[in-house]
Amino acid sequence: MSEGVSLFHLSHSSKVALAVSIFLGTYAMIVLEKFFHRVPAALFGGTLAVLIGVLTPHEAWISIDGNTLFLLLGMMTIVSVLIESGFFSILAHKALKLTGGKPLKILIVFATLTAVISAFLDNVTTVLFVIPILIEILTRLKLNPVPYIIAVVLASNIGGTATLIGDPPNVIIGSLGHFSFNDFLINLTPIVAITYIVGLITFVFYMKRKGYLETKTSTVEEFEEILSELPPAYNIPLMRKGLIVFGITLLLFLIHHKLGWEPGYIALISASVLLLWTGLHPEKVLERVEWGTLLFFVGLFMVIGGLKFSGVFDYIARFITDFISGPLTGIWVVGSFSALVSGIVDNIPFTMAMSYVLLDLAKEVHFNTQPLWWALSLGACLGGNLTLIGASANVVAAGIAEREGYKITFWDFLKMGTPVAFFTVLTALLLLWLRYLLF
Amino acid sequence: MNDELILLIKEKAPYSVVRFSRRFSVKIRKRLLIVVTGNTDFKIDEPVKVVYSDLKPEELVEDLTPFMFILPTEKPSVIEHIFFKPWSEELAEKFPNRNFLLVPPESEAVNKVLVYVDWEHPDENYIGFLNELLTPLRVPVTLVTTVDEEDEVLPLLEKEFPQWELDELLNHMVGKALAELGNKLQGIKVLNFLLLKGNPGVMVPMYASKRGYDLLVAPQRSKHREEFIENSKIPLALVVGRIEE
Repeated sequence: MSEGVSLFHLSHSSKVALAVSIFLGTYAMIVLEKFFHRVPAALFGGTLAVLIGVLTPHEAWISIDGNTLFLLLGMMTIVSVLIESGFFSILAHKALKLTGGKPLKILIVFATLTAVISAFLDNVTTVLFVIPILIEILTRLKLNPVPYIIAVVLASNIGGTATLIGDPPNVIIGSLGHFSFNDFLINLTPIVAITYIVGLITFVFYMKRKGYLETKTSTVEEFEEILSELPPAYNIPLMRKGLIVFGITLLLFLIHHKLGWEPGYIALISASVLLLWTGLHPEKVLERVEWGTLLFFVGLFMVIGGLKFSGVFDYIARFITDFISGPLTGIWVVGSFSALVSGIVDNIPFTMAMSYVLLDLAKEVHFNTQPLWWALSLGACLGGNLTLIGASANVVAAGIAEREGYKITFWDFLKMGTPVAFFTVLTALLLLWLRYLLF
Repeated sequence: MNDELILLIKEKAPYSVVRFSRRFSVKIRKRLLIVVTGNTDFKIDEPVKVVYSDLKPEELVEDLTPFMFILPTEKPSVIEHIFFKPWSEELAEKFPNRNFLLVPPESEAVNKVLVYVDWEHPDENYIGFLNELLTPLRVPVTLVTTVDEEDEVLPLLEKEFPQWELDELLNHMVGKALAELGNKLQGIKVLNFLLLKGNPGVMVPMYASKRGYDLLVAPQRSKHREEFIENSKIPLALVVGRIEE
């Protein structure tokens, strides 16, 4: 690959200064989302870093983590086929039947279903199909959908923390930290399961106190009638093929470290096998792939690459060794800092940057840094519940609700999200701390 | 043999299916033969010919060429259906050169029929057989077709025309094609023509059960046959045409 010729010949110190400036500038544009879209902002930052010589084209290329991109692309494609088959709508319809139209049951069943699905699917995708069904049924039952929508989004962000493929920060952590699907299952899933119960109790308690769980329609017949008017379209042969491929993909994830295959390549080959097997028109399936998110990752990887190749992460790693005396203190420092930052700004660039810091930190310290990676995951994912802009799923859910005539304000979200984020982050970090303290 | 309906029962079947088959055979003026396979003491108290056979259903379907095979079929919940495919559906999928009528339990008389036709590639054998099947029924028939992104025409037209013009053009083209097909169905009372958007194997069965149709008719020579078989909740006639002995 050609190294290219930059217009500028930069000294090391100017490279560092420019890499940091580009990173901060990109981050600022991402934060100022009212003025800039995050995708062109990240692509602009990344390509600017190459053009002004902070990165060579080769360095930019190797900064883009193919495993992360392929894992996201592959899973989005498989999920798109499952959505096309109507599988998730059927699940939601079944869940609705279970509730019998009782508000508390609707809340618990839908939040739990969302959390479980989010462990295997991107959170944005999950809320995209759960929320419209929820709004439809709650409106018909004359209940205010806003608190239920918020609860479902909170559950989605918690559930997404449980596995390697549940949330983009975990995909990044898995790829850059070289953690397997099983590492996530062993280290995070049990903690997230308990944390979810804490989160559920928190929002159920809040909604009960506010009177959001009182029944407005009385008869079972009325609910049955509503249910019969919402039959989802489904395609059983397509569902079967989609689930077989999805199941095999999960199985391969479980043994990918033994096979020596990276999850990204497993996801991509599974997606292509599924498209070949079903004969579906690729354009139809790929319409649901979030190309914007993938391009956002490409741009960000280059921006973060600028920091990596100019040695900025080494400085930060050396700096924070003063604050982290061991893995147990590290869990609290990294976890709470990640939660705070992720509650305010996009957790994807933050997780990318922190991952490189942790990689460099491992060279500086003489203790096991693995607990810090889990703390980063828990903080970055659960912290997204802190505010309305803390996670993409929150923003998407607010958008769907607004389209249906229900506005979710920043304050609405804060009232439910902040206590849930506080208690879940606290519980999760405490459990992680206890796990490493005792075993 | 070609004027016979064979109700193929594997060990046992809901009595409602036997009753449905009898009524249906009387209505379309065909003789009904019931063939019961497997080790069973299933008894039928109806004035019809019943034969007990040691052969497997696959072997019978391979050997016989009746007007149509009637197969009792279960309709488990969608989630169960993903993991468990009834034997009758497997059989219908295995033999694309036979006419089948898949009958779920609790099916009653046929009073309202939905017929799917592929407006782009109409199958003459299929159309011809529809006359034979539906004329004696003397019930109103709705002809339905679909346009889908996966078809040949829609993606091409989408590139050339704005949405409002596209809808108008499609309605005109499809309406004309369906009216021509309707003319070929002499003796059948075609009530109306319908155009649905999306995959026919999904949209047509859903429309049929939502709108209270008693019978859905679809061509065997369709790439969506597997979807018609598994997604339909109401009796489904899967038709290839007249079978030569």
